[in-house]
Amino acid sequence: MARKLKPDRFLFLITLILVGAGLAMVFSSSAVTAEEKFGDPNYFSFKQLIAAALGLAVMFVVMKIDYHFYRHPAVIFSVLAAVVALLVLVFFLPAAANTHRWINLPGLSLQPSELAKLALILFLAYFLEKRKTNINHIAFTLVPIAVVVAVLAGLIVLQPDLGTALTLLATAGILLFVAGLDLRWIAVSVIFAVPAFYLLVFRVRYRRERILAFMDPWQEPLGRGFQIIQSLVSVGAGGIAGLGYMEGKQKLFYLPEAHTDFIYAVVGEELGLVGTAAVLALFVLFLWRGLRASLRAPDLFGFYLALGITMMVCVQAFVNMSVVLSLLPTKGIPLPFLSYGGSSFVVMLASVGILLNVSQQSS
Amino acid sequence: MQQREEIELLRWRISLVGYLVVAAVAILVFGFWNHQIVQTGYYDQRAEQNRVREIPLVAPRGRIYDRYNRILADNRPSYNIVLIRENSPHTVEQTAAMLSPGVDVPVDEFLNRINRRRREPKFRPIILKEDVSVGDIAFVKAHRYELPEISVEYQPRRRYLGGNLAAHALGYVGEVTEAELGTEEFKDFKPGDQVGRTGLERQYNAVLHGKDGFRRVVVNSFGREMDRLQEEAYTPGNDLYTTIDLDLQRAAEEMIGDNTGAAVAIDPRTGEVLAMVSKPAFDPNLFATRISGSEWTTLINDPRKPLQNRVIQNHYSPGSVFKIFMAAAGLESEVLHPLDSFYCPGHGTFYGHTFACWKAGGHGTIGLHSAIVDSCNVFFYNVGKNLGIGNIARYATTMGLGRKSGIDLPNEDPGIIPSEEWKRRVFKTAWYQGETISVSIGQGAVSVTPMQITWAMGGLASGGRLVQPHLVKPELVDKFGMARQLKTEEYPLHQSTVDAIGRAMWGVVNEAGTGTKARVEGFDVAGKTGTAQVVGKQSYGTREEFNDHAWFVGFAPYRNPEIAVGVFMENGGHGGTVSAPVAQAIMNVYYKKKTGKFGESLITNLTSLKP
Repeated sequence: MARKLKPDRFLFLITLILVGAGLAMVFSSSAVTAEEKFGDPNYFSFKQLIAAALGLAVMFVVMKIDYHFYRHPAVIFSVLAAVVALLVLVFFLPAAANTHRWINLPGLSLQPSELAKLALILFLAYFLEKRKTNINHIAFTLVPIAVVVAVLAGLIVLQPDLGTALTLLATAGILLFVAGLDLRWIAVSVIFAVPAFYLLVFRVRYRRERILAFMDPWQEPLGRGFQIIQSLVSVGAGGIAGLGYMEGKQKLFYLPEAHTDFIYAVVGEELGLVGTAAVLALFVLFLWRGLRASLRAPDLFGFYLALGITMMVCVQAFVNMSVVLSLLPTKGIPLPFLSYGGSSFVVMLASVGILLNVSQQSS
Repeated sequence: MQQREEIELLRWRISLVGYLVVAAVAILVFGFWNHQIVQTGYYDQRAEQNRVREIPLVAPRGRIYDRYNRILADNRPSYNIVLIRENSPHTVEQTAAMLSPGVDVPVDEFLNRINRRRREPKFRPIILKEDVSVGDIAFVKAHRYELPEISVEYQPRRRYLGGNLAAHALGYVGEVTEAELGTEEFKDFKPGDQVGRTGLERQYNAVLHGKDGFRRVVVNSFGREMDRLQEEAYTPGNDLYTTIDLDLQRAAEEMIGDNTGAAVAIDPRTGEVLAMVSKPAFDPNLFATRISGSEWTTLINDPRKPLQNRVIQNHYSPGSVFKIFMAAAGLESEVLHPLDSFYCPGHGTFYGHTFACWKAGGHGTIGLHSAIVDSCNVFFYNVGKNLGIGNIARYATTMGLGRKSGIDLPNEDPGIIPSEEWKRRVFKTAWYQGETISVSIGQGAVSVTPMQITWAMGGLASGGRLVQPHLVKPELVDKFGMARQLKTEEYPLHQSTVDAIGRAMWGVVNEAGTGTKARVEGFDVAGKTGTAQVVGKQSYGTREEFNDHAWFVGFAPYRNPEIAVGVFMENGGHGGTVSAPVAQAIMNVYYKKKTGKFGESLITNLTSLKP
């Protein structure tokens, strides 16, 4: 593996553009709210800028680390154990907004569920490569995987953060499917998933509300439908060219969480179809270069790793955009690289670092 | 390349994932196309109609009462015309041009006001005209459809019922400044909030200021309220109960009239301030609405400085009133014996200089009692010489002069009691012995505020007990964390000293003394007049006025006094003729109220005072 090759510059560039666009949009969507709340229009932007600097630094370092370094059980299982420990730890910390999602350290807050996504991809890539001849063996392959996925997803559901858990499951599902999981097992999991989904969604009041709001937001336009309607109004008001950067009105307090989960709606309002199409195109390009790196990986570990990371980023991106367009119910999933939020940002950039390293070693 | 083959085996599955992704992207593209191109008109309209607006619910300030619960300051309803630039169908120039003729304000003034707040978010209302008339409101309401960006907003406004009555004690309100907004005290305030600027309004702003509420409503494109989202009621400010007695206050104000001067009345037993007058005064109501530029310039440039509270913010030579404190210092330090007498030939020579007595022919051989009653200078030159400036400064400071009294008003002046150390610090030169002689009769560098000399006189007459003066009882503002423990100072003072001085001061008013015009039948008034030369032999001042200042400081009854009064008339002439009648008016009302003979003249409420 000692070939001297360059990482995928195209992928690198796409990431940088997304990060830059994200910073600009976080400023635009949060400046007024931040000034109202903290008396400083740069309050959120500055924190995001720090996160971006940190994330890019992490990305550069990770990019230089040969991804085979992770292929040792010691590394894989320590990462997994650490993540599980952190996921358990959050339950012993004071809740914020009734959820146990964050570990608050002075100056930064860490969201272990973001780390869990990367840890699971590392584990699956390692384990699927090891079991490549026995993918459908129940005790040998499927049970261990099911246990790890269930523990991680279960702890995240309990936080509660169903959106992140579903992203995690979707990423794992795609990896297993590509690895050659027997279609029967897929059928079985679907059968089990339906009642579980029912319990988790329709028995929990706020989630049921979200689904109902999704079905018919106009039923309660100022109640549960408010966010969806405001999101649609933002996107719709943008038209082709948008109202212009910083000129959007919806973010001023009509659209809740404009700088986090609904930042894409602000893009739609301010930059119009041009802006939304450009961001969508960037993610499609990211997908293409990611899959390309994955298919050209020198070994199965690299293949799964690159595929998992690419899918994690793109699934989240597409789900987030669908929510903004009300094609899916509200989930609470950030748009990778663009939404405000340090943990997600840094983990995403670290993952891209791994992806870039894989691309560097492609054959 | 075994690994590669394995990947090849899984190719169809990868392809399937790929197709799913393409389908997802296709749906997204279609979705955005649909929303942003096909249905954009619909959502545009929706966005226009679906506007949330925050209407502030301004909390009224607390009322201010006198000691008998008569209202001095309250609030009246008023309306402002405001502009909300967001969604305006006009440019600000168009709006200003359309509104200007209707409400009689020049276009430029509107544009000035808008420009000053140009950078704020567009949904924040900008006040275009305060305190508008019914006609103005009618104009705005009638043009609701042409000018949907203009609306009328309610705001309670400060009203001072007595006009300029007690204006300096009450102070006035105004918009919070940008500099204040940066400070800890005003961290919860927002631009445009009314806060106390001077006086009690400033001192107790935290008590008087309420907490604004808001109402968040959905409005249509004409600004009509369609739906109410959220409402938070305001919390009104807390009322303030002062120690001022409106009857005494009015008596003093009427007596001073249009002259320039100050008067203050204190209860020396409790430190309560009963009246505080500074003239000329201003009408604090002018500040309650945005004060106009010309009104402000007039107030600021008036050579008589109506905004200044002469009771606490200016200091003046005490003149002969200071002799009382010289007498006390002399007796207490035993350089002066009660039976001592000096010979006054009309002048005295000290340290090679000749100092005159006011009586050209001299008082002859004169003792303490007569020296106070007739205000002999030579007697006190001798006392001062024997005391020395060190003792004078020490005793005067102990008795409450040359330092802040600690009254609960902002910007109190400490006055000056000179000493060798003071001279070195301020002028970098040594003390001349001759200056001590001038200081002995309250000239030279000695300078006091009417507040502190009245306070000190009350303390001296009460046997050396100084209670911190105040306009609001601390226990009444206790719950706001503003209560200060009232400081009570007691200094050693022989009863014989108090008696000797009290008797002499009673003589000033009731024998053939200089202060007979302060006499109140049946109420043993004691006092001392003072006539301070503005430009003396050793002048530290830079003032150009040459007329003397007139003082009268006294108390009553002369044993165990209940009220101490200080009156100062700027360039007024003789204390006995100008200032004593003002003190008389205050103490007369006090005595009549005390004995129940004032009943029918009592002010029941201030509105009855208005013309």
